[in-house]
Amino acid sequence: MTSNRLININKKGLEFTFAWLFAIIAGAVIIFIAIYATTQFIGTSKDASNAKITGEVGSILESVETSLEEGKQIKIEFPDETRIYNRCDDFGNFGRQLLSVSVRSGIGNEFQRSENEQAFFDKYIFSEELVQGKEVNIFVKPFEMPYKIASLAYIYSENYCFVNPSGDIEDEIRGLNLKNVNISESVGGCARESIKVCFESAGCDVNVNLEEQSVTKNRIKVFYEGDSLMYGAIFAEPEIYLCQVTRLMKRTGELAHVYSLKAEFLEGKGCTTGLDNKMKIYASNLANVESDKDDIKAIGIESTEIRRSNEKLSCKLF
Amino acid sequence: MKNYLVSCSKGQMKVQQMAFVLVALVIFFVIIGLFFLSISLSSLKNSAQEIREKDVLESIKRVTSIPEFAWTIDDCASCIDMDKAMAFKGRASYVGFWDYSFFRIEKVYPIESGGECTLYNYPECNTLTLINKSIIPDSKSAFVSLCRYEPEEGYYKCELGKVIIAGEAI
Repeated sequence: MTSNRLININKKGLEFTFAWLFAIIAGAVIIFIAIYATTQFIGTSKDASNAKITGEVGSILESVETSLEEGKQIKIEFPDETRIYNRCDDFGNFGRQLLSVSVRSGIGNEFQRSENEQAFFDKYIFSEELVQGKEVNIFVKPFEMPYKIASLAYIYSENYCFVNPSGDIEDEIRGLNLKNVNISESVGGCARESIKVCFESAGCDVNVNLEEQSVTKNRIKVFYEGDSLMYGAIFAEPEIYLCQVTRLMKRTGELAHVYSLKAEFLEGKGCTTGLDNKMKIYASNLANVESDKDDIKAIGIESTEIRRSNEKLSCKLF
Repeated sequence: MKNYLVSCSKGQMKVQQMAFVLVALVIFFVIIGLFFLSISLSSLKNSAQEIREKDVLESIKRVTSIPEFAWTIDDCASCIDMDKAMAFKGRASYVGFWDYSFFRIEKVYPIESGGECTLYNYPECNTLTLINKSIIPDSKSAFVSLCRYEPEEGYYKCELGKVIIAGEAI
């Protein structure tokens, strides 16, 4: 009797323990796999959605460059708070513009930065490294030195206050009807939260020296040539500005080679421009430009000379 | 003793049953997961393709404003500088600069007998192929004016042409 009872107890215990142990281990493994797969899937979906929006922003920039060639502005509205990450890489023949977008989501990491940055060789975006907002403003201006090199896009979401800009700049800003950019006669007249840009005095967040053709931002002084680059220096982070200038100089150099070949080609057709050698020298000077120094001024002078020589020609190069 | 053995194999049967059910459940959910994944991946591929096509369409619209081809001597929004395009052809530094698999400029009227343009037959030629990685059927085209300097006449001459662009396949 005793032996029977013992056997019964052991039998029940063995059946219960093993089945439960198996179920717990198997269940834990299944739940772990399910949770892991779900988080991975959510992450991938977020990444895919961000990559899709990045592609769409790239397309918008493409169309903006087409339709706003002369310099106008558009506003992009996102469904939720969005971050645009602007990265510039000056490596290679032309460098690269890297762009990624991240839309805020309520699950996990609020802003999941997409690993799939979209790369453009022919785009030049001047902005802070991170532009955040539910709506962002974009305006485009052509960059010429002395021939057209590219369309520069400026992206910003914060409020700017331009203090005492020169007449030309004021007219242009009013003409472009730039959103979130106000003009004031004094720093005191600017909104508290706005980024103040001084043109005739120092002491603002961004200080523009029109005589020296330099812009000081985040305590870094950069040099510019022409209004397009001045706006670039105002709206972009200095590191991004310098990288984009390096890229623009590379493109200008490559175009100088194309124009030099065209000059040789026209010479073969019987039209001597005399610009083929000048273009070659211009290209080699452009290859030596250091964007963080005032080399760009010398390039500006050389480009003006080339423009004047071209204007005198019967068969113009550009 | 006999009883014990019988009830032991019943327990094993239950464990085996549970194991089979669990395995079947896992396989079932994996199949469902794969099904959803394939649907979402195909829709992702479609939207990527749509964006790419949109880009190509935008590129077609702005091809005449690309500095490497744009006619900048006069104001002409739809003109291509053929002399510049000829000079540009073969510039190794531009390999991979545009995300196109095919880029060709074709003369539509008047048709010449020369075929592909080279330094020897230009301007008596019909086509100038700048990128030719692969010919994709869904290429996009736009009519443009092909302008050049005409030395004998001493003026600039424009003819009817078209640009054909195809994006990279995804």
